[in-house]
Amino acid sequence: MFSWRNLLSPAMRRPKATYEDSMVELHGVNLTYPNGYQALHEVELLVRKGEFVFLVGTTGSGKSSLLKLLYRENEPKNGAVYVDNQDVTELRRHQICYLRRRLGVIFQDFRLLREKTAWENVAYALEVTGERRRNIPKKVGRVLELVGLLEKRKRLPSQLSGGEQQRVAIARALVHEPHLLLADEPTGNLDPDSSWDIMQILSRINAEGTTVLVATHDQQIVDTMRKRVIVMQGGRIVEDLQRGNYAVSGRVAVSS
Amino acid sequence: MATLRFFLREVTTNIRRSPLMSVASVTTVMVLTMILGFFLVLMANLSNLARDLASDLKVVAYLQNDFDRETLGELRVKVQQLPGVEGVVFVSREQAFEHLKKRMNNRIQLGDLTHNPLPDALEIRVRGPEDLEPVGSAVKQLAKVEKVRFGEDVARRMMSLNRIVRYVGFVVLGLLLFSTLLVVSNTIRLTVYARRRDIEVMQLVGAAGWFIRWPFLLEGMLQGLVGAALAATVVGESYRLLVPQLLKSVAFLPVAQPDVLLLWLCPALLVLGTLVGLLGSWISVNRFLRF
Repeated sequence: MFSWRNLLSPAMRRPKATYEDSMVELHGVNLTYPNGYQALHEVELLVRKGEFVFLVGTTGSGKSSLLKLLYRENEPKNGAVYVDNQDVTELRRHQICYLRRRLGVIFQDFRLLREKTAWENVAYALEVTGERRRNIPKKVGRVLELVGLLEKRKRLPSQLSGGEQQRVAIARALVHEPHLLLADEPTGNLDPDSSWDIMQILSRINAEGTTVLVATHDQQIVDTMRKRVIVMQGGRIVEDLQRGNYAVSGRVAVSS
Repeated sequence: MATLRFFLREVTTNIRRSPLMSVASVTTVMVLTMILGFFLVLMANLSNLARDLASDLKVVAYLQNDFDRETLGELRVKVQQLPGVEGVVFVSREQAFEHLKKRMNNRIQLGDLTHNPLPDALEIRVRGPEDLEPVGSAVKQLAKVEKVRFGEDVARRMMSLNRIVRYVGFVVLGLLLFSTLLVVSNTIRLTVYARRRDIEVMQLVGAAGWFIRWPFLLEGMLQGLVGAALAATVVGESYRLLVPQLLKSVAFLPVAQPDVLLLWLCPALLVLGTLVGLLGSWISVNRFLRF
């Protein structure tokens, strides 16, 4: 089949996604922001389907930049970014929304719509993607139950605690039944108890088959969960540990 | 259908949530459309005036009081033989009186007059403005012709005025439309800016670009339509009030009839307002939408 890629020299051709069961695959990714700051250097990464991965590192180490690549908020200068076996750098602008419907993203600041109730916030994610109206209540009810907020569905974000707001955000991220859940500092604004609730929910979602990628610098959580830990520093991946803990990454960060 | 209902719900909640913003947009559209409307009224009247005066290419020969209507045929033939004459119409003093009465629309009590002060006259149509002068002076030489009137100067000036009005009008119209668009898009930008978080969230959960855009475009169109409707009402009503006043002071002014003028002006303003609202919100929302 004809492909523009074949017109490029072999060295410039992007490699195909290599692994059948890869969920996230990055090859030789460099990311430079318009102001000239290089956020990522030659990043290589493989996350397989069903994994639970912590992305740790200090502020400015490139965690958020890496996550943004995956939901196409950022575009790399070069290199290949595969999400769910699709090269997202080749997406055209109007195709980005279809990528995002297969992802769930949650943030430190929740990003809920303040004027809408918990239920409406979750339903909104379905409405704006043109979901059939009669399917919406069932789906919204299911995810709100999953995060334990069904009885508080009529409350506005301002009437919910931080942990509850984050749970609404998770429900919203899950309502499309995404293959991959990205969380950027999901517990950054929460007290330890709420943080633990959130991690429990993420863990349960992962157990049901969704790949979860969490950027955090919450040492206690990383140490307790004993999941795969990828350590970033200065825009590079410096360590990749199965069943790792933060102490290791902390040592790396300090020793440099 | 469900999507349309969703859009309409979004629009109404948006308007309800920030009524001040909507009021600002509507007012902006209204003021600018009003200026546009008054300008169009002015232009229509100027071109009406020019057309009225330019079409009046005739020499009127007023006949002496002792003119004998038996000799009319003789006089008519003499005039018809003059070069440049297209036609001759005899207007008797009685006809002239009736015509005057109709033109004054009974605003002046002509019944007070004890006798008809008007003379018999010949209305001589000529081929072009250049024929006015020679025909006029030739007719003046004929017997029993008291006075000759022809608006050559006026006609010529009016025709060039008509051209100028048209050119200047289109330029000013273009500038007005452009500035309306700029101001409106900036006002709407404030409402879009106030909701940039919503746009962010919509993009995040995978809403398509057109899906995010449509409620804003609908809202802009609605605001444009409402603003234009208000403006059209103001322009229309004030013109309706103004015309009789004008005619009272200057009876023969060839003003554009309000009913005829407003019949095309009001729809034009509504369409313009809606389009300006649509374009304005399109420009604004694209500054916050990256895809």
